[in-house]
Amino acid sequence: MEFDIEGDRYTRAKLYWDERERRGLDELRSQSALIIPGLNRVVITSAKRVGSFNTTIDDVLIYPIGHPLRVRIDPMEHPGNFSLLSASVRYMDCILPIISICNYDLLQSKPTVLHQIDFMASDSVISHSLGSDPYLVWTIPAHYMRSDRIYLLNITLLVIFSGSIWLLISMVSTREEKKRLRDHILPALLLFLYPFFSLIESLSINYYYSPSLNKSLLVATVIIYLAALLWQAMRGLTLNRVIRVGLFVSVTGLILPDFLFHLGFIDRWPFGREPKEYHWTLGRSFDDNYLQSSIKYEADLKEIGLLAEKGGVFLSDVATSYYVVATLPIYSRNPHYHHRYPDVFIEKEELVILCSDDTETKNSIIDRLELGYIIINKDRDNRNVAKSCLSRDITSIDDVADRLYQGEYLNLYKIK
Amino acid sequence: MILDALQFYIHSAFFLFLSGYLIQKLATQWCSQSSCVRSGWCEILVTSFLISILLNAFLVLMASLIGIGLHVTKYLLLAVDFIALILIFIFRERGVKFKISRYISWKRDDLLLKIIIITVFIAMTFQGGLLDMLADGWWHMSYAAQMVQDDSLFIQRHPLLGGDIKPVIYPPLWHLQLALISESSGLSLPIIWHFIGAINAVLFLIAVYLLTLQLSNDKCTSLVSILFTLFIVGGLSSYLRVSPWPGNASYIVLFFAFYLTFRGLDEWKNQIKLSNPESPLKTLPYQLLFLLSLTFVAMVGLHGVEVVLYLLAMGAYLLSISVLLPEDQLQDCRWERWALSIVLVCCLLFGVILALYLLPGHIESVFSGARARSPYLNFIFPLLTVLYLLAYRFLSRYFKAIAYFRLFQSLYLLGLLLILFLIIDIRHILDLFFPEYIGRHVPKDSFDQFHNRVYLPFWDHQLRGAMIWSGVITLILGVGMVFIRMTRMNLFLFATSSLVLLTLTSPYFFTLTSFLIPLPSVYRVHLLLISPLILAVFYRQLFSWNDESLN
Repeated sequence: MEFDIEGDRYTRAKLYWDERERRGLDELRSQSALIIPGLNRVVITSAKRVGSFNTTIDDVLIYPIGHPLRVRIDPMEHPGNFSLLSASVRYMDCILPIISICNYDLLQSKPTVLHQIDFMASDSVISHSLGSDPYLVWTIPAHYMRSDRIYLLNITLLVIFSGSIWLLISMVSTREEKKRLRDHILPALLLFLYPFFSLIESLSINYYYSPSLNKSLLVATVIIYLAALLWQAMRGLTLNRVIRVGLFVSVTGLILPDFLFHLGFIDRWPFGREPKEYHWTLGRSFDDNYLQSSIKYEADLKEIGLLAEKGGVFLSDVATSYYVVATLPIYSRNPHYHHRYPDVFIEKEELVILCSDDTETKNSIIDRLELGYIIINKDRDNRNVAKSCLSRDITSIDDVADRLYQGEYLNLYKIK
Repeated sequence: MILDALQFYIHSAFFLFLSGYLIQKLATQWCSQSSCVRSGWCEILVTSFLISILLNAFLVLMASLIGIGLHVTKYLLLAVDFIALILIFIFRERGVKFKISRYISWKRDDLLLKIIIITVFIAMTFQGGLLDMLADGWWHMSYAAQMVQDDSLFIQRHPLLGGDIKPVIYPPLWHLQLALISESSGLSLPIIWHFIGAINAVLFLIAVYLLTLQLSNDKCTSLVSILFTLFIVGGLSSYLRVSPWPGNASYIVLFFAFYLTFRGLDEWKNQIKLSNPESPLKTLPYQLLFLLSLTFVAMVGLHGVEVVLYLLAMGAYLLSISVLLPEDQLQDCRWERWALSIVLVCCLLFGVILALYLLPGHIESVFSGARARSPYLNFIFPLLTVLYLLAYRFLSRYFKAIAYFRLFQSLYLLGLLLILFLIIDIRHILDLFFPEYIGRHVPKDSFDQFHNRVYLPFWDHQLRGAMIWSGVITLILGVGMVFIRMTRMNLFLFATSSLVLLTLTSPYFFTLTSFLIPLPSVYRVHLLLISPLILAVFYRQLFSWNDESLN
């Protein structure tokens, strides 16, 4: 399930679905993703993550989605404007994602339920939400649940592929080996199955994903490979060229996604929560580091270093807290959970209060944490910063602190 | 940023390479022609790095103890460099002469290596080590920043929170290098962290290259192995952007330690062949042994865990050659086994003494905890497995003598499969492929059927990426290749891959390893799944079409 949504503020979009076996739209079969102002792409796939990427990524793993009968999209949590630019269900069993067979475009059909939403156009939903619980529900026609067309497509592709492999094996075999070729046709053909699938999956990872098929094929490939080797050994034969080519293609197919990932053909690592940020990739530039770190705040940090007292204590969002302590001799009260130790960090609930208008409670929190300063990061491009309420509700701290410095990205406030 | 980059690279050349190079040069001049081990530019580069960071540590430690401050270190280092230069000039007629041809070579393999290294260096200068996500690197930067602020190795305040420094238990060797560069250049830690990624990435590639070359004696395999290091996610070797981390800096030293071990063993074997085999100690390559001991000190100072990884890998290798090598080859490598045993025992003793000195409370809590209590299966099962493996050699000799060898082999294999079935958690393996829940950094704990407390890692903490799919396939290849061709490289890869397999899938081996490595870090054993080497060797052997040993 994939949809593109453009919003005008920070919110969460939510997806509900039901299945033949488990009817009803409820929280058990739902997932949400953070939406930030601008264009967001939300992708929800089987046992994978919910992500809104292009502008931000939200790593959440979900339950398998299966074949949905109904789909409900909650584009936002409050009244306001949004545009649903595309929304589609992609069936993951296809080896090649032929759109007419493997894809169902929700925006091409009319939603069965519209709640608190103005429906504006037929090919996109450009809307104004009237209440705090806007949603759209689509019912997917029953014939889209039929899998015979998908299997027919897969079988046709595999027959074409197997023929190509047979040709390849014939070409690399010696005359002597050709005589024995019939002994190897079956295992060799099957050995090519997974690499082929893997290649197709890697190339089309943004359009479909099938972990169950992937896993089954891998297990089958490995078992057949081992069986073929055992068979060879039992017959007194050894690693001939056919088996070697089979091995070469199998192993190369298995490691191909690694290469495609580094060469930038795959946007996200497809097998689990491997952080893309840890790896070099073709096309990544210094800009990524510049935009998502403290390097562009160097000038602001220099000024803050001159104004803040050495050894002082400040509060900021988590990301900015780390940026500051890595540069200046002042100390944070908002580190990650695993870097905290008792009594000197801000609780989650306290953070919510600080972002509210409750001045009295705010002061008690400030006293408890012995805060001297608050640093607000106004950067909207840094996704590490943008998620925090401290970076958004700038005005709510005016009652407890005076502004000492206003920089391009960072503001320094001194507690009154 | 270009000026920052220039400034950084000049300072890092001074702090991370120059003094090490000069001392190395001096040592080469000092030793006689015959006893001196010749080195190429790759060894010189990594050795310079190793000596420099240790010298920096020594000077900073002295400066901090005396109280003259971190900022004085650069002047002390300048003085050391100056003295080294004078000595090099005085002894210029002695030892091995400097030859520019050792650095500038137009041979195809060497040229390709240099092209790869330079390309990676340039690419990493732009991509950098400063991750575009909020990771623990910032904690390390704040630690180094605190050293600069306190002008000492011994920080006075918690780097993040400003309070008690007791929660900060981390080897400071890498942080002090960053602090020195920052203090001297005036560059902020995030900028240093960004650029230092290029240096560490290149050093790691060179260390991998050296190890592969030493084991395979084939430049083509070595070149392919560094290409795979760049691309293969399995085993997490392609984590180049994480290379500024202290742990990753320590990986450089770990691979260099492996290289030095095998280089030392080869040099020694050659010397023994050439000279009197009755007095092998006289021919020991002491220069390499000294360097190896420096790598242990560096690994302890950088991250600590890698010393244990070295110990485990070489222990597994020793066990592998003892069990798998045919009788005639086993006799040939008796000195190798002897030397490795000595190194491992020394390393173990050194580790125990250090742990007792540095972390007495931690050791006590580990050994008094639930995983060390009755019925002691976390000790018993791994020990019995190792004993069973070791028994093969003795039992096979006996059964060969009474002509029941084939029957014995079948029964032994059956017994081994039964043991593996008992100690490996099949559900845990299935969880890798069919995940049911999402895990955390800290391993999952449970009780086995004997009410014995055991641990296993959550695959989600980096391991799923390390294993699926290139990791899984290289694990199978790493374990399997030795049965097709019995080379030293394959034996080493078999040893490390088997170790990874057992540690990550057997709760008993995993829990036992947690007595040597802190529990949340045991998953790092996956690093010993050296996927790039396995793949390089696999492809090389696969395309040896005319090699009779494969046909």
